[in-house]
Amino acid sequence: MVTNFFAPADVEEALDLKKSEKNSLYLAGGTLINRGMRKSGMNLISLHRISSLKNITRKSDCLCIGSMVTLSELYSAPLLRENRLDELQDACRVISRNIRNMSTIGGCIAYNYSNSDIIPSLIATNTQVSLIEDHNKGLVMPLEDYLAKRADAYSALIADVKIPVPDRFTFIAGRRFARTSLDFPTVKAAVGVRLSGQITKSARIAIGGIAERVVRLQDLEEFLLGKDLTKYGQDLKGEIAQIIDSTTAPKDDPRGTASFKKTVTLTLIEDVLAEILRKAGEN
Amino acid sequence: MEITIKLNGITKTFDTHPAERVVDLLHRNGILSVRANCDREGACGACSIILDGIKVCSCLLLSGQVDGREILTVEGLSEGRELHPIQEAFLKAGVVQCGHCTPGMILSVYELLSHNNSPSKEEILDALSGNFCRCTGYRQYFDAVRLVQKENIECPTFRNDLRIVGKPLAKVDGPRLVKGMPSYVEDMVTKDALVIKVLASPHAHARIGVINTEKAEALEGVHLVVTHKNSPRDFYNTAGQGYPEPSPYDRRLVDEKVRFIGDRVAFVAAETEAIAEKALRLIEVEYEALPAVFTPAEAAREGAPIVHDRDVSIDPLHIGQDPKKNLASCAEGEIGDLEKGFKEADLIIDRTYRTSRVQCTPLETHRSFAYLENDRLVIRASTQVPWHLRRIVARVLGIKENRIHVIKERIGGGYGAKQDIVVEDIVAWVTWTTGKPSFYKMTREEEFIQTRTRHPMEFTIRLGAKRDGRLTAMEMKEIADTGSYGTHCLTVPMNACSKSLPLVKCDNVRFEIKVYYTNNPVAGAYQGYGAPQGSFALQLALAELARELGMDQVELLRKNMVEKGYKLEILKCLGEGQEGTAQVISSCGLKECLDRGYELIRWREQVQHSEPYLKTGKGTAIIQQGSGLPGIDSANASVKILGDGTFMILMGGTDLGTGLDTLAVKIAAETLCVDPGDFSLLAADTDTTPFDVGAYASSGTYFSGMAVYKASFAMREKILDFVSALWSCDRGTLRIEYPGIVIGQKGRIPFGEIAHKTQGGTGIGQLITHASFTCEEAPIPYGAHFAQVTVDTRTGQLTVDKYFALQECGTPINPELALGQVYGGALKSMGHSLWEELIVDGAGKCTNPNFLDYKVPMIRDIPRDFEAELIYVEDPLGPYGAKSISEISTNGAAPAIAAAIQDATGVFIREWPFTPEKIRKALTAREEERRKASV
Repeated sequence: MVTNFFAPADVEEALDLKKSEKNSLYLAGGTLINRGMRKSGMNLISLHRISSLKNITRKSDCLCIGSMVTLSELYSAPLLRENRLDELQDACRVISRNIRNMSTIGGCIAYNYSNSDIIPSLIATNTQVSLIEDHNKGLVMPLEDYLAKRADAYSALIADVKIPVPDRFTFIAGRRFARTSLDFPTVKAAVGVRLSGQITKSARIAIGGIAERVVRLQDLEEFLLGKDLTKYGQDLKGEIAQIIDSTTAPKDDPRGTASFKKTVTLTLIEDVLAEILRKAGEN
Repeated sequence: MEITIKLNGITKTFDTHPAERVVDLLHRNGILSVRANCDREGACGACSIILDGIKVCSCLLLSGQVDGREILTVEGLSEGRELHPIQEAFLKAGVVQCGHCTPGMILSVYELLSHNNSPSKEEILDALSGNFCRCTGYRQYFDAVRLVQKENIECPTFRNDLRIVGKPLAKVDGPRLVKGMPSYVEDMVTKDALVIKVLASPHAHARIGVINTEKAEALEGVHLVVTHKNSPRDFYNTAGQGYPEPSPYDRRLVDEKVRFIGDRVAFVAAETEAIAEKALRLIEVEYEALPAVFTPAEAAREGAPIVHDRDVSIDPLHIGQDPKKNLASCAEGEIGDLEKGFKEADLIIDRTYRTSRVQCTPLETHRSFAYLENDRLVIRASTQVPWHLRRIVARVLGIKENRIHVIKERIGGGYGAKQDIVVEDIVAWVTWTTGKPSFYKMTREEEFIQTRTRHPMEFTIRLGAKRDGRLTAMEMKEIADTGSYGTHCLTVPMNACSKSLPLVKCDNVRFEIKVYYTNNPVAGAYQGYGAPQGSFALQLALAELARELGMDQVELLRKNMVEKGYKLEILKCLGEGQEGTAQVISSCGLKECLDRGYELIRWREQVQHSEPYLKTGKGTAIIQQGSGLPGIDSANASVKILGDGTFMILMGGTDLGTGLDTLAVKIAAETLCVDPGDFSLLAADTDTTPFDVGAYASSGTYFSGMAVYKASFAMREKILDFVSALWSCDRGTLRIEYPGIVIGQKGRIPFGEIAHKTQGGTGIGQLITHASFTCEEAPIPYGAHFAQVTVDTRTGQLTVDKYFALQECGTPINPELALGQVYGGALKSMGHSLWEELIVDGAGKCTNPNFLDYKVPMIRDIPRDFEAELIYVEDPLGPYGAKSISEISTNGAAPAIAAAIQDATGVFIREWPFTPEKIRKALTAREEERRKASV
């Protein structure tokens, strides 16, 4: 049960409230927090009035997206597609329009949900997250480092995310597998690959839905280094399947059994790599 | 705390609490169109509002989040009696059925068109993606958007010889629904009503040892706590069926034994929801856990724990029950000589099929409001069966029926779920005991667990056929799980046979049904009423037979399907707890439906993909239902003329969103040669309207419709009699013409003048007619559904590319609403075929009682190409030749899709839902078999 509700007008006021109010929590769109709210004695600091958290801008080689930007705003922002971040744009088309209209990028990150559509895409793009812990005290860190810690380990406010704009050799693609349209993905795969010709120079592979949090498949990333992706069907598939089998440990749940999730993961990666090759071919 | 909102154009200040959801704040302040129906998950969209121009879920917003902002709801879209163009378009397109989702849907279209003048199909899909509609199948919403844009949308019309019947007409109850006006039970609740909460059993099977309610009763604001100790001792059944019910009297209001997780342990009536919930926590219960059974096989085992140990002599009918063996009911029957039939066969196949537990999921969860008026109990109910409700509640309370008045409000989705008395017995007891108004509203979780599901069934089908495909023998053995109580436990499983076996001609047929009690949630009525399960099993078995014979599936169906004039001997054995009657088919459009579907889906054309893992296939199924129950059902209606020659219809029939009220008005207007606007209608009110069994068994169009037709026709006769006497002329020289004028050799006299003359001081009195309808035969609607699916064989993920539903209902009285029924039924059955399953674990616990884990289809899940067509056939029995339309639509998807999966992949999936994982597993097993064979 919520005891107090605050709606600060700016970041400074929000930080002061966080300091002064015990058991306080920042509230973004509320689609995830409000859904399951049962905890008593909570003080909520809603960020919806803080306009400085709602900007989308390009700064040198990255896009800065304010934490209170909704997924709908992101989905319709021309900057994403213009900067070859169409995968992230597609990922924002989550579940339903109602939810997309409310859900914010900051809220999605803070909730740190494994079956997220957004988080794998952000990790695949090597996104950084800007935090404000105190007045004039900021911190920028890789998103995956932030997520690796418990969400409540930080009292910091998420100011924005910084998404590197991919160069023309870097390609990002993602795929989701869900039971129906009104669902978080059973598995979501997002891959960012830098190619030289068809040879992989670097790779970031993030998978949601197969562990408690979104995970990077670093063994698979390493395996792909120096590989010719056009050889997927002939040579690579079996080995990729083995890596997925040995390095992931999904659990059974109403969305599917562990073994099925592995099958789906392999298929999504197959499709994502095919998509990357298609994009590279168009480039 | 205080917040300010600009609500529908007017700035207002509201007192609220930081934790209050906006949906509750609005509802509390008279904005009734915004409803909380999904336990605040943001999953159903019934709480949609436009916040600063953007559509959001108000159930996910706290009141503080909207302080200083602007909110629009449908109440703000139009003023007075005017309708907004979107509201008009919704009525014209026929998308308003139960109407519970309608305000949210309207706001979705409003938001879309505010930003986009010419949306694409994909943009419409996206705009409506957050709104759950169980009734319509979503297809006609595209028409509604086009209508707002002034595009011309053609609705099919039928019977050029009639003025009104067979032509589109905006639903008579539509305006109040599109405007979000008070219409549902929840909208009628007074502020002084006690709030009821139920303590649910955490055990699947237990005896209640000690139960201490002292602390709960001592809590301030608690008015009543009911446990087995102070519950009435009489047993009854919750099934809203004609008396005597073919269902056992196996439950008390609260019993000393609980039989499933979620069963009633106690209930509390208190001044607020918070107090009631607190009181529940203060009830101390010691359970004596008992061993439990969770499958019919476990239940049937010698020495199995007994779910009900009771006296069956109180049951109204003997339905083969033997509770000491956990047998809730059983039946069997045979025509011809089955063994002879199998001996004559060139090929015999023997297959087993299974269906899972599926929930009705009406958007409006079960709820009821009761109060006393003149020392009588008034129940405002969302029910399909007002008269059965009155009878059952009278039994529970131990009072006579005349002390109870049931008013059926608009129903926010029923589909069979509201054919059971699930909440009304509780509010009735609280109000009758305390004298205070009371209200009980189930949460979504309670709705999933504590209401009714489809019966899970297992069928063993044996078919014998000649080489040319002609059937020589059919045997259907069925085992069903009724769960912990036996509501509808004979009739639903029998319907699985009686709506599937009579589709094909076969002289030697046998069926056998056994229904077991288990400690699972309770099964009951759901649209189709067993027919979807039976149809799945038998139609898929026929598809398998065709495959074994090397025949085309359609060819096999054509060879065996019934036709007009065929005598259905099997129906003799398929009465509901009594002997049935063989019936001659009065009309049959199976051939036309099959031919049209064959053409639409391009049956012979094969679809190939460049990706080798994608496989596409096609399948079909022929289907039937009934139009009520001859010899069991009955309906009544009255018509009275008012002072100006307009009319009032009093009808017992219950419109659960399907358009029955509109149908009644159209039939009466057609018969009396006046405009539909000259009728007002009162329906389903046990005090003011005559008896009707209620809305189930597809009886509305035929039974209630015929009652209205007969009453209207009697009024026509009465008018002619009066004019004949007035003019002293031969009655045969008179005729009635539109608009309500009697014409004879002496001139013309309008209905208004007739009313004036009859009702004056020298008149014969107000003209009032009454008619009742019963029958010995009922018309059978038929149809054929076709599906084209594509399977990704790597994951088993399935896409329904095309779905065509071809159905005949004789004369479609409301064509646009009839189409909506077909789309809605077809999509519901696609849901249970592909995604839906109420999962109960090995200990009887339901693991997915919410919309996020129980997957109902949303608009983005509909087939890419989804079309329904109504095929006209002439039938002599129903009003203006009409048959039923709704339930039959749920019978086609499972077998048609399963056959299409086989056509695509080569594997038959014999258990619904056909989840990707299940398909993948079947494909893997086949690969393994092939691998072994090659080795």
